[in-house]
Amino acid sequence: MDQKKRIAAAVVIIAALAGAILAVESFRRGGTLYRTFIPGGFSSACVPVFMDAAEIGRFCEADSAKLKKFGFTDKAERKIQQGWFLRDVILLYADEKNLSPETRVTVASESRNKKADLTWRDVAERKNMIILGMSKQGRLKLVSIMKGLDYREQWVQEVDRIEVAR
Amino acid sequence: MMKQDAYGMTGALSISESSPLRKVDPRTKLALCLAASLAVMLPLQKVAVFFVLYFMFLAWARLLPGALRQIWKLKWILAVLFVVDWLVVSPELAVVVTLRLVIVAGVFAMFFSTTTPSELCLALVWMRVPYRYAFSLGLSFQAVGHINSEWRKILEAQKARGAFSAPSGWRYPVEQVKNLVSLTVPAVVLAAKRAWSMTEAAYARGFESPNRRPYKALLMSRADWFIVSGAAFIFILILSWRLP
Amino acid sequence: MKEKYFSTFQLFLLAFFAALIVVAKIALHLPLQLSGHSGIFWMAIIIVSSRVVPKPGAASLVGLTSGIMAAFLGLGDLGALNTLLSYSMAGVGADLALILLRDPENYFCAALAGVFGHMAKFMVKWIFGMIAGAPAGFVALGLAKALAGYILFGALGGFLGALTLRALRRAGFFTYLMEKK
Repeated sequence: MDQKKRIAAAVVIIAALAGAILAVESFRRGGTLYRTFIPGGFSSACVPVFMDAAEIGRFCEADSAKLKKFGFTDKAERKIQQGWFLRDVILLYADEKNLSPETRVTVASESRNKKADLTWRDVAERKNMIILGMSKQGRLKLVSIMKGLDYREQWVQEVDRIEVAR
Repeated sequence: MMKQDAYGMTGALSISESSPLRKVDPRTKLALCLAASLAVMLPLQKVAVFFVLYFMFLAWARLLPGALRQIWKLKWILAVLFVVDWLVVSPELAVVVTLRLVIVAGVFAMFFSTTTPSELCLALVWMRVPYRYAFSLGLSFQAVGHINSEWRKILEAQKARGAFSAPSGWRYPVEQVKNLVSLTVPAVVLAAKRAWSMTEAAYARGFESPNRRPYKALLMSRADWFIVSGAAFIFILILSWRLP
Repeated sequence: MKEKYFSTFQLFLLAFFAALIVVAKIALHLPLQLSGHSGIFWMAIIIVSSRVVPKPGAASLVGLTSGIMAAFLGLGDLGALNTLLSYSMAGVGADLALILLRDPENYFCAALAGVFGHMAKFMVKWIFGMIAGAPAGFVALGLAKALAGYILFGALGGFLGALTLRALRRAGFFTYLMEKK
């Protein structure tokens, strides 16, 4: 290899290194690259939403496009958790007038045999960040920073049912 | 171009003679520092407990003022990180990042402020680093003062010859770099001359002799074993503590 | 008797270069308020050392030795471990680059080796930031700008190293060294 090729190789390596640093940092902070490469929608089947045992709608990928995404960084692994407010999802199918602060909201996963029982007061409070986020496999998961629901162990992965009980 | 008041800083090894860690074996201190530097991986509650224990230990070792000085140097970075992390992510992350940076910044100061370079060399030899390399490290420390005075002479001589007349500021980096050649060339030549004198002196004293024996050997005392086992016990306790 | 990798003279010479880096770090302040500007002089010394002692590992040894010294003298903002690793990695980075680029007297090769060394130092700081978990903070401090600064000053440092080597050659320094092996 002659000197010119060596210099060119070195320039390429430097550019690759610098690019890699910036790319990793962009992914870590959920920047442009993160948003480009991490799929925004979810690939699994639609999630049914029930009100008092009656199905009032199914939350599908097309519905998610109507909602704005929010996120937070989880404190244990410092990963960005992004998704749609559970509040916004429920309000796609239910009228807010029918919901009182004491209305029970249950988010469940039959496959994981897990569920989270919440009140509408908790869900409606945006500060709690009760979010239906997206797993790498394209499944919905319930994540939050609310006390009592702020650890991974308390989150509900592979959500397949949302129930609202007045 | 030069910061005049900074010259006196070279060669200023500040060893804390009053610290009880001063008499502790350098290997013990090295083990403590390595264990403590792993603490940055702990979650918030554990890192907070470790932080308190660590500062109590520093206070006992009479090294708190030095550690605080080190942290003070970081004040702006810590302040910006704390505020930004609080606003952008969460107060928990802001606290944990601050604690981790403070620990990372101060942890090896405990070793370096209670250990002389020659003790470090002995520890390196114990760690199977060839004696020649350990000796050359000690030599570098001894050379700092000498090189500093040589540096000042070169600087003054070059200034007297009219060097460093290039335009200053960030618009002229290449001109400034070319100016620095008048410093680097004599500095390199003087370093080479000095290295040759040292080589001759070392050969004359049988530096490469295979029968060489160290003048001083390291020995782990009861206090060393006590500190090592105490630290290991605390570390295991923190690791096994189950968070709610 | 088995020949040593570095002769005693080379070892001492590298030790003095390491001391030179530490002295320069303390005494030399360029009027450039950009991150990484102090790397100009010591990347130059690392490049010079790799030519004066033309063996792989010479730059790494200078980096490691200066790192240990800088840690003892309390240089650097992020603590002794960071100082030790970043100085050492600057030497290792330059060494690895010179395995590929070979000729530190060539301006381009020296500048690129300087960039490699300085970027290796930057990466240590960046990884420390990641371990400490400071993503947002790093972004706020301008990672891309800092990286650009490190690349620029690494290149200038390498360039200064090549200028110094050429000046030393003209002055007959390498002939002097040949007699001292």
